Amino acid sequence: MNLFEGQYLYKEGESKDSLYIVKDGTLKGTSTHSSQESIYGPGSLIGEFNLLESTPCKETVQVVEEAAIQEIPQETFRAILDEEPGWLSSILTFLTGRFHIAEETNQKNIRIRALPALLYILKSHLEKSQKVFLPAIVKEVQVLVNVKKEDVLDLLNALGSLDVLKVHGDEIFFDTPRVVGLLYETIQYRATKKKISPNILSMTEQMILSTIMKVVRDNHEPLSNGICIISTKAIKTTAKKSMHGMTITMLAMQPLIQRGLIKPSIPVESYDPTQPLDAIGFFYCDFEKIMDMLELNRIFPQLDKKLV
Amino acid sequence: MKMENSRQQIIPPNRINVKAGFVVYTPDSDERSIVILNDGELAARNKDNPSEIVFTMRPGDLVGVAALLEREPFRHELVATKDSTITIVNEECMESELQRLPVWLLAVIKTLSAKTRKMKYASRQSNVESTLKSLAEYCSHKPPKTPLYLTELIQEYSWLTRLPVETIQENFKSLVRRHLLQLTKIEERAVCKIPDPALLKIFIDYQTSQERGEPFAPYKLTLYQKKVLALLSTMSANTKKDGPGWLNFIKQNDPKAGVSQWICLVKLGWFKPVDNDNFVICADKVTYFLKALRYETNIRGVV
Repeated sequence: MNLFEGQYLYKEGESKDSLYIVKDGTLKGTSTHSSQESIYGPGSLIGEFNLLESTPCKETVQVVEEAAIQEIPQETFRAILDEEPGWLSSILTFLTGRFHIAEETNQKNIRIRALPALLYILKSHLEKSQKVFLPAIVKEVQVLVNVKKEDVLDLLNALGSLDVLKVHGDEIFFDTPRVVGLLYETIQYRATKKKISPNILSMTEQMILSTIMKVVRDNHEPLSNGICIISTKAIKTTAKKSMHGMTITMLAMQPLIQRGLIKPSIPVESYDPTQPLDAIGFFYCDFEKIMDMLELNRIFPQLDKKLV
Repeated sequence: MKMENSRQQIIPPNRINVKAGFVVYTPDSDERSIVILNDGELAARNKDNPSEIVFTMRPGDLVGVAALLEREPFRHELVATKDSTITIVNEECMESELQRLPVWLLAVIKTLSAKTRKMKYASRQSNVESTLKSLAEYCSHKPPKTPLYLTELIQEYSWLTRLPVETIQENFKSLVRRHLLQLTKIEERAVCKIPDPALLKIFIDYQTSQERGEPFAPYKLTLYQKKVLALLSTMSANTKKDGPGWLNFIKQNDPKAGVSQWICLVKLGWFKPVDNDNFVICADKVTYFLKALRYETNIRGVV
């Protein structure tokens, strides 16, 4: 058949089950799901998946230069397959399935790889203002890594399901905004240094920090510049209840002291990690920092699962 | 008659019965073939650790298509876990079959393989198309006028976008050439400063207009509009007037100005509506247009 400039071979969503071979001329394929155009010149095949799977057309194909096209109806294809051994049909099914798996994996990879870019943009906005607007975020992530709007929205939903943020209308709200930056740093550290970030705490460390949080909350005392002071006695008493009878030792506290998350009442250089915990009268720490670290450690292990 | 000759050239696949435990395929084998399970059960297992079953095949399943058609290695050992009947399609058999197919069907098979290969390759590559715009976006989020180590910027940006370092370096040069970035050295290390992130944002919008083949709004202003822009930039952003009030104000500077000009100015975003049909100057937009005009040569890259 001959088609003239501007004519459509078919439109996205239509049901077609023929294969088209371009003998002469040029056609272009556009899709609402992609910004890329496909160009079909002489020798190109159009609609191989329509032929093999009878699926709705994935793009709109329009003639750019007058074209001569040969149509292979599905009946012809079926008749040929009937004459061939059964395994040929299995091979075609296998190849089609394999393409879809590759396509799906590619889409998944693009989405997963866009997460750091999204966190980078969100972090940057949060450093400048409390208000973060969805259209700006979507646009900037798209410019930075060229992903579809739906992918950015999917990622925001994944972060939303982890309680990192909430999208309400055109605005994005955060309960603990600093966690966004911490998440970005942690992912970047893992990717570039190929090891676990120091922000990721062991279960014991998390339990100690949770105990400290509990002591501070139970105290009901106002914090001075966000800094809280906790007596060793209070830590030990609360730990006995909240850590199922586990005893906190100086050795267990040491990684947290080294990371600067908690500080002993005596100068760091003069304390001995082998001494008993009671030798330290009290500890002090930045309450919000501890809260952020616990939040990060709650979210981070779930992130990969949410994305995949 | 011709068809008959063609049929005679077919090399039939090999259909065999195997006992449980029979090794059907081993990765050491040079011969590539498609194995179709007609009846029974096959297991693909790790050659170095035979107790590790990678997957199990049921009747109708086949393996080895990618190995035969695309020379992709098949890494597993295939063993019969029950007495089974299998069909083996080797290279000769496949070739003889493919030769009989119509050219278009052969092309369909090749297209499917090529598309899968392309998709797998794309999966490993960067998805960024407009690399210069992407780098401008990345840099626009960095603190202005602060020295940032170039190697660290390249490392972070490369990780975010998966673009090769050579492409990133070229794009850095392009932005430096436009004076949208500054490169200096501190203690023998190259550092980068962003003089004004807003200029990078303008550059991104300009590039987007270019890609779409649309004129960039700040560079299609009439002389009259440029005069109004200059005038608005000297006024307080809190100045509030209704539509006719602003039109009168503009008319003081250009008696020929009419409603259509006023509508054009609103469309450019220089005014934003506030209470009771009043409008105030949108200072951000006015600054944006002024900057775009002032740094036109930098944005266009004709420095």
